Amino acid sequence: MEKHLLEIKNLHVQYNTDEAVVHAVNGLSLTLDKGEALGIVGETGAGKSTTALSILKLLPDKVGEITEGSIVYDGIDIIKANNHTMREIRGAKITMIFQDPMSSLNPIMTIGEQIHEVLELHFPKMSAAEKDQKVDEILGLVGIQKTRKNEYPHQFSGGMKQRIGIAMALVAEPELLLADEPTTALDVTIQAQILQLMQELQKKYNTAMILITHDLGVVAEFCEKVAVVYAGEVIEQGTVEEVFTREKNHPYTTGLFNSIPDLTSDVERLIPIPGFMSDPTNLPEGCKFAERCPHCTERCRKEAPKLYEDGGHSIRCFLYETKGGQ
Amino acid sequence: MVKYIIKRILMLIPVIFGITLFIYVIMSLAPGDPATLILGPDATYEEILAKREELGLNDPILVRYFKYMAGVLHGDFGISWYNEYDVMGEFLNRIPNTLLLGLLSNAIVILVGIPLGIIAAVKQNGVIDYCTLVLAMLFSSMPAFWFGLMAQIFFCLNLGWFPATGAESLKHFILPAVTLASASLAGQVRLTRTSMLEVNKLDYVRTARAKGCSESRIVIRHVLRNGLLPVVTSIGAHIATIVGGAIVTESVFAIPGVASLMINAVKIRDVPVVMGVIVVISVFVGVVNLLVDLLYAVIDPRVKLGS
Repeated sequence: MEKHLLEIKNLHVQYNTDEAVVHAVNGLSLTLDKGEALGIVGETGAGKSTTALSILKLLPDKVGEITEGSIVYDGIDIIKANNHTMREIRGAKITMIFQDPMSSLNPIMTIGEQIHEVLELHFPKMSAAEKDQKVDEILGLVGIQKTRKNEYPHQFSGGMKQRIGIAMALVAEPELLLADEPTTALDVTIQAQILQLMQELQKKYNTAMILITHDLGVVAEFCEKVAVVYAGEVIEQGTVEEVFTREKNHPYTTGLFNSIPDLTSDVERLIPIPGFMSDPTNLPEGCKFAERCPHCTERCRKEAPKLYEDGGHSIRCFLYETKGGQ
Repeated sequence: MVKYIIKRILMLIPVIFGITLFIYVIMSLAPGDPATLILGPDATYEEILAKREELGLNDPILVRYFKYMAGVLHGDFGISWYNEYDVMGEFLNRIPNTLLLGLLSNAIVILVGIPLGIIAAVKQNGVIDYCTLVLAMLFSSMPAFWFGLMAQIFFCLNLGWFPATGAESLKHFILPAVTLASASLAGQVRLTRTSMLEVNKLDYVRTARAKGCSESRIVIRHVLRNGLLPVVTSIGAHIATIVGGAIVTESVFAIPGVASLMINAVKIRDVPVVMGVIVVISVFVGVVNLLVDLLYAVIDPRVKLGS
């Protein structure tokens, strides 16, 4: 078997709050190769961001806990890695773009300083002039005039701030970029620009990317592979072609497709998926989607389906049951 | 920036007029006649009338007030009604004691309070954190006079480490400064801690972690400067209350400072002395507030002065 850049196996993450234990991620497995773009799709609370934070071990202190499974990045076991190893990975090998650019930048440091800091941390031997030049260069690439590097975050618009976030994430030319809903907080017209910019830079540096989103359209355009996540587990994954031809889909994925407005047909209303996602403090025994599924059977409520694979395309549903399954 | 500073200083003028007018009117309207108080119970009616005339008490309040302020604007703060000393001269004699006391107590608040607050935040729910919580409650609920008396009994009488009263050497100021600092110190530790913890939860601190910053770098470069904003405000407020807060402390430790000068003058209705102290304190508070605002703009680039 070829060696993957990132391999997540059977990841379980829970948040131990005062009221209850929240099971955010429940047996999630993923693989990602060099230079590949994977879209993780799912609704709010499906465990997408938690998965991304787990990869960097940035779960909230004392509350978030990885209880089971493994995350292996480039041969390094992230879960067992010590703080020192993690610090060397963060910002240099694996970087992250956050959801809200408004609050993700330090308000009292100039944007130049904030980008510069990444280089200070990870390239101690680089000369000051070289660092400055790198900062100028990456600012140019994300479309911000380098003369503005001595300005503070509040002097930039939301879209500009996200560009700065991207510059910070890419200045060290990482191998893996985690983009956690990078455009959710932005204006629709800015979204496409930001995504395009990310894609260009991702290709330029041959960076692997995990793009977390709840927008299937974005995935279709910017990713090669897609994983649909529901209640903390992958319920369908495959290449974008396999999933988007809609020949075979998990009922949840079908539901997601049905809730996208179609410009060519004349429908008055969208078809939403009925009901709500299962309570993560009290997950059902069988299939987690059973309550909302139009194809639900007696068996679905009692027994949790495995991922059934057909080529590279796998679906966690008894409808596509094959021998084996994972 | 310069324009803003000038504007703020000009704004002090009406503020000082307001404060002094208010105090002057209250002092004048308080029951009892200063002339009678000065001359004592044995004075004759004629003597009292003569004294009233001498002090200018027969003029309407506003006329007296503007006469007084005209003097102040010429640098003449008048002379004490009782001991006939020059108010400004006496004030200048005493202010070093009060300033030394204030500076020492503020130094304690800043140099002990902020680091302890940082440690309490970094080691949240640790031993030091709980200790500061208990000490904070203890100190802030102890009245300053009681704390001062206890300190005198313990450190001066029992241990003999410090002199109990007076202002002859720096050693005399240590216990008073600790007394004056005690209540604010406890608050400062908790405020610093809370503010640091608040900032530590923010998104940009997570961004800093995602960049690969070490915990100490995160605290120093990202959390501290942001977390210090409310702390600066509270320290400014503390500096501004030096004189007011020192009244009790100066009395307990018999320090000849401005606060004790004022409180004695208020008791015997020595209007020129009270007014002189009030004018200087008002200017002092105004300037400290201005400095705090300027410092704010230095720390936080989002603060735009003057707009």
